[in-house]
This record gives sequence, structure tokens and C-alpha cells, in this order.
Amino acid sequence: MTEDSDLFADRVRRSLEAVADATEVRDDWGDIERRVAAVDPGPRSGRSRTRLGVAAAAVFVVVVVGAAALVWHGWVDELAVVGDGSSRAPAVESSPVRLWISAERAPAGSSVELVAVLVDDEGVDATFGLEASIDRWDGGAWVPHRRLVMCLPESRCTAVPHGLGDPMGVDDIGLSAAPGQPGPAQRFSTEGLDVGWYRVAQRSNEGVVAAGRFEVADDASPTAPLEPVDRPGLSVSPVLVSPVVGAVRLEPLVSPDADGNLTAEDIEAAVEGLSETATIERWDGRRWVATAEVELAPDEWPSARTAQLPELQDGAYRLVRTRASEEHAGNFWVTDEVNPAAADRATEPTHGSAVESGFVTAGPNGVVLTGSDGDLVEVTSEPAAVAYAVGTEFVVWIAADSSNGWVPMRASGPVMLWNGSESAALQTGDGVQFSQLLDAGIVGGRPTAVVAEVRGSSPFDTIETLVAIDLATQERTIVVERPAWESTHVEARILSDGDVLGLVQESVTLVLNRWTQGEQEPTWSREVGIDTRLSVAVRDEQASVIHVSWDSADGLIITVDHVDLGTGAPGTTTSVTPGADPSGTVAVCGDWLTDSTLVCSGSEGPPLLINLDGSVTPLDAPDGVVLTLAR
Amino acid sequence: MDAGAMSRHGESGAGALSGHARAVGLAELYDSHHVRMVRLARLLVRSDAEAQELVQDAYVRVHQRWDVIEDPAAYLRQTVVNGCRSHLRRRDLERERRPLAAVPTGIPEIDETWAALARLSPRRRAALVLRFYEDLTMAEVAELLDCREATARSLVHRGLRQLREVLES
Repeated sequence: MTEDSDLFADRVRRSLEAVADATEVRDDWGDIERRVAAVDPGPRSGRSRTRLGVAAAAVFVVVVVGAAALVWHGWVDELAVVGDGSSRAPAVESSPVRLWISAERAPAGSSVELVAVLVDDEGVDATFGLEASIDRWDGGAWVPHRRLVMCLPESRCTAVPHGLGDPMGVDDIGLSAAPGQPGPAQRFSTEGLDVGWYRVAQRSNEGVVAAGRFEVADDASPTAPLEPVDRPGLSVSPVLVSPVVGAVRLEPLVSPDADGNLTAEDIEAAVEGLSETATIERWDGRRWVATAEVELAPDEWPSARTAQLPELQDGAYRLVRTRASEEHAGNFWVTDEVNPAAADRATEPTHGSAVESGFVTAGPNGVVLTGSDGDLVEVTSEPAAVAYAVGTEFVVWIAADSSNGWVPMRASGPVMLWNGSESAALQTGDGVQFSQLLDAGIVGGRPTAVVAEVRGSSPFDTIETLVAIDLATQERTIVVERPAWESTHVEARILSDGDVLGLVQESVTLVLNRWTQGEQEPTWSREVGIDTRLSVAVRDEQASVIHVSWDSADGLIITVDHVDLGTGAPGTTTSVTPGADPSGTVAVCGDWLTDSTLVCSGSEGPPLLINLDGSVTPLDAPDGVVLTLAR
Repeated sequence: MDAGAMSRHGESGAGALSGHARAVGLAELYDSHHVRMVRLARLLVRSDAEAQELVQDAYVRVHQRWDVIEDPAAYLRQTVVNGCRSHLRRRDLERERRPLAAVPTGIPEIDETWAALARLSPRRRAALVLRFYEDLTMAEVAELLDCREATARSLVHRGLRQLREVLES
């Protein structure tokens, strides 16, 4: 970070502390004590007596703390530096471009080879050179220590730290990273670096400083070894891959001869006969362990190949092609610190402005089914809040009250079914007062809708039943039945095994549950937020919770939280700011068109395809309709 | 302070605290953290009164969970941050447009910065507050905001950038 940025961060810090100090803090202990006692009356008397002595002191603290807090805070900072600073350095300064380092800790006592990768988080389009500085943390500040000229994979070398005054030749090569994507691997060693914390920094022509930090320590575990530069290997790009999805390109790395000559024939000879599959090996801290085998696909350059990686956990990996007993390998790393869309784009088909798989729209003017061949069928002209199509044979929708003008329109029921020729209301259970259509899909080869049915005579005995309904036979299967006064389903996705992923509103909290037929308790349950503008989408057995928000600076903000369908555990989170919102106000993003493209609907404009790279494509559909993909 | 609270709690054994000990523990937690937590909440929700209420709610929650939480101070902070986030979202959903916070200090540089902070999205503001007021690491910010570290880093980067743009405009 530049001095200017440091000053600005200090200004923010000072302002926050000053405003915090000006906060009027009253002694609330009495109220807290009463509230706690109301919930847990047992220990009341003891706690009251205990507090009598300290309450007055607390008031005193509140009165004087405005003046004392800065002094006290300063003491804490100072103590932290003296007691802790020599062993642990602070995080590097924030910058639009990061320098990712392949290991946070490297063993002392030997030269360890590491990789540094520029990652442009904000698309500032800065161009960096190969020169880098290494600063050492002296317990209170970063102090210039060494200099480097980074080595790129094609250079077949490892950069060694030089003294500050040593002459260095620097090739005039510009490095850059596309927005959200990693740059090339830059190889360097820790040769000559004693135990301590180090900051590696590169400065761009535009003045952007990208920095990363690592520690040299006696007790550090062995880092993943980089492939030797003195024998043929592979360059894997991108060298940083998202755990979610990744397509990589493998290019041969061949060293020139003693005279510096390298011909296309040399490269072809080096790769001839190499396997058309590659083994993915993960570094387990001591050795490489094979984790998967992938097929290689041809590349436009005959000597290169591409590979689609499976889902991998974070860590250091290498891809290995073989020829007899010979190995050609290249390192890469899996990290959630890169945008999954970056790798995804390489293999994603182009969809243009239309959805090719068939879809259905619901809105004030009814429900229209668009088949994969583009044929349109008007299912109904009555207002509908949302509709789902299973193939082109069944469409299920819920009638809507269009008076509020909001999308999705307020569902008023009933739930309707079109079977290709005629429409009728879906049968409901006995005593049902209201049905909410949540989703439709294919379960065990059967077209199935999932509906929440609510019945009861008073708010306190209301029961909500999640029902799976076979759209061909109208056979009903209860998934779960539960009191509705404490929570209601606002959205759901039916999974191919019949389980239902249900988003439940509990007071102001939204909870995602996985329900299995006949089980009263969810398989797993996870609080996912309190926005009412939350959607759930499932693709390829991967669930996502999509948060839609808006702020005056960025406009539309879409945040995608992936959720493990098996456990409910949170996965990667991706946030995009498409900026302009041509739909008016995006309200629903309930389907994935591809691994990185959401289908969203808004209140005023047309439905949109929103890619995780931030691009937005309006769809050829009426304004203000809710569009869902055919199941 | 945090470490002390943790060890004191740990010495008693998980789940073994009596109601009296729980009450004493909560009182100590109040003494050591109340001012700081109200200030943190104030920075997040921009209202003294709402901050006070939210922190009060947080103590009640901490008390309810006292026997099972490992680090009451950390849990308190997490609860305060969560409460503030929930509160802000509710407020947003109610379409309540709040005026910029009143000039709090009378020092132009500080008040201008605070006014600019108030224009950030709640999430960005929270990231900046946690990073620069609470002096947390990016990993800790990410944990409190329930996001990935890279996302937290991005929130801070963009928050600072937006802040600077607002101040320079």
C-alpha cells in the first residue's frame, strides 16, 4: 500500500474511533438483568447482589471513558507491538491487486521454491514488471531486505533474492491479470532468508502495489515442491483454480539447448507419445498423492492440451502426463480466492440472448410456455405469480393478485395445472385454506410439484404441509408437516431423489432445510440470512442461496452462497455487482442456466441472465414476468 | 480481556456453571465489554439508541448460551455484529430511509469521513468498522460477516475506494 493509502486508512481509523468515543453509552445492566431473570429466574437473587457493587463503577466508566479510551487504546496497540510484533507481522496492506503466495510458511534452513501470482480483484488493468521487493518485518515495520527478478514458467529458472545494492538485469516483460483472474506463475526461492516474516511486493506502471506475505520458520511443514526446471515439464494455466470448477490448459515446458536454441520440433519431440490422460496429485504435506485421473482434450496449439478438473479441495496439486517411466508435470493450486467464473468461462457455451432449453413465464398477462424449439404456448391469460414447466407436457402455476404490482406478484391461489391440453386446479388436502406453489421437477422419472398447504382455525394451530404432487396422476405424498405459526416456507427446490430443499421464514430469519419424506426433522438445517430477497437454486445437485441487494454506489449486488447438498455446509461465496439493473428491481434469481449464469426476474424490465463475471443479458420476454427454466 | 474471559469460563468446565457463576460471568463480561460493544454497534447501525438495544439483546443471548459457548467475549461480538446486520436489513426492508448521521464530533475531517461512511452499504461499512475500529484481521472480519476471506478483503478494498471517491467528489 502506498503512503497515501496508509494515511487514508489512518484517517478512517481515527474517524471511527472518534465517532465511537462520542457514542452515548448508558448503563444497561439493570435492563439486562431483568431480561435475563425473566428467561432464567433461578439465579436472579445472586446476580442482583453481585451487580449492586459494580453498577456504580460501570456508570463511572461510562462517564470518563470518552476521554480515556484513546489513551487506553493506544496502550493496547503499543503493547501488541512490543509483545507480539517481532514474531507475527501484520497482514499486508489492501490493494486492488493481490500477490498470492503459494505457501504462508516455508521451512528455514534450506532454499524453498515458492510461486507468486498476481490476482486482480477489481479489474484495474494494471501492468506489472518482473521486479519485486522483499521486505522483512522487524517487529514494528516492514524494512527493505532483498530484491528479486521473478521467473516465469517459460524462463525455466527460479528467482533468487539479491541484496538491495546488487545489480540486477530485468527483462522488460509486462505482467497483468484479467479481472478476477490470476496472472502467470512467478517462481522465486527463499534462499538467504532467515527465520522471520517477509512481504513480497510488485509495483505496477500505474503505481498499484501488489503484495503478499509469508513466514520462514523452523517448524514450518515442507511446502509442495515445484517441478524441476532442468527437465521437461508442463505449464498449467490458470495456475490458481477455484474449487468449484476449473478448466486448465497444459502447455509443454522445454528448456533450450546450451546455445539457447529451442525449436518447434524440439517441443514436438518432447511431448510426442505423452499420455492423453493426466493424473491429478495433491500434496499431503509429505508427498504427492494421486486423487483423480482426467481425460485431456486437444488444444488449438498441437502441443498443448486442456483438462476439465473435477471439484477439488483447497491445496497444492500437480498434473502429470507420462511416457513410459518419464513424467511431465506441472504445478497448480486450488483456492477459493479466485473467481470460479474465471475458469468456468473457458468451457462455457455461448447462449446469446435466448434460453435454449425451454422456459415458462408468469406475469400479469398470464403464463406462456416457450419450448426448446422456440414454439410459444399460451397456457393461461389469467395473472400468475410463478409457473414451472416439466418438459413441455406439464405446466403448474399459482394464480396471482396483480394489484400490488410487485414481482413476484402476491400469490392468491389456487395452484393450477396444465397437462398439454387443458387446465384445472390441483386438488388440495382437507381443510386447506391456502396453497403455495414452491417448485416442480422430475422425481424418479415422474413430473412432480411441491406445494405448501396451510390449514388451521387460528394463527396458533396453523399447520403447514409440504406435499409432493405427481402431476400426471395427482397422487399426493406428504414430505413434512409442521406448525406454521412459527415458520412458513417461502421457497423450495425439489431434488431428484424426492427430498425438498426448503427455505423457511422463522421470524425474521431465513433457514434452509433439507427435508426427507416422512422425517419430521430436517436432514440438515442452516440459517442463510434475513433478506426477504433470497432465492434458492439447484444445478447438478449443487445448491445455492442467492442474495439480491442494491446500494446507491454499486447498484445491483448479487451474492451467491453455495451450500453442500449433503451436509448443508457452506461452500464458496461469490459476489458480483452487475451495476445497472435493466429489470428495474431484480427480485428473484431461482435458476442456473449454466454453472455461472443465473436466471433472474425483476419488477419492471425483462428477465435477465446474470453471469458471475458481472455481465447482464436481458432476455427476449415481456417486462415484469417471472421466468423459470423448464425442468 | 478475551483470553481472560475464555480461561475463566473454561476453568469452570463446559456446561457445569451454576446460575450464580453464570450471572457473575455475565456481569464481568458486561464490565469489560459493554462500552466497546455499544460503540461497535453504534458504528454499524448509526444510532445510539438502537445500538444500545442491540447490545442488550446480545447479552441476553449470551446468557442463554453461556454454558455451551467457549469464548463469551467472542460470542458476544459475533452476536452484536449479527444483530446489527439483521437490524439493518429489517430497516432496509421497511424502506426506511435514514438521514445521514448527525455531525458527531465537530471536527470537519472526522465528520466528513463519518458522513461518507454512512453512505456505504451496511456490509462495506461493517467490513471497514471491523477492520479499522476493531483491528481485526481479514480472516476475523470474514468470520464475523460470514463470508470468505477474499470477499472480506474485497469489501474493505472497495469500501475504502468508495469512501475516497465520496470524499474527493
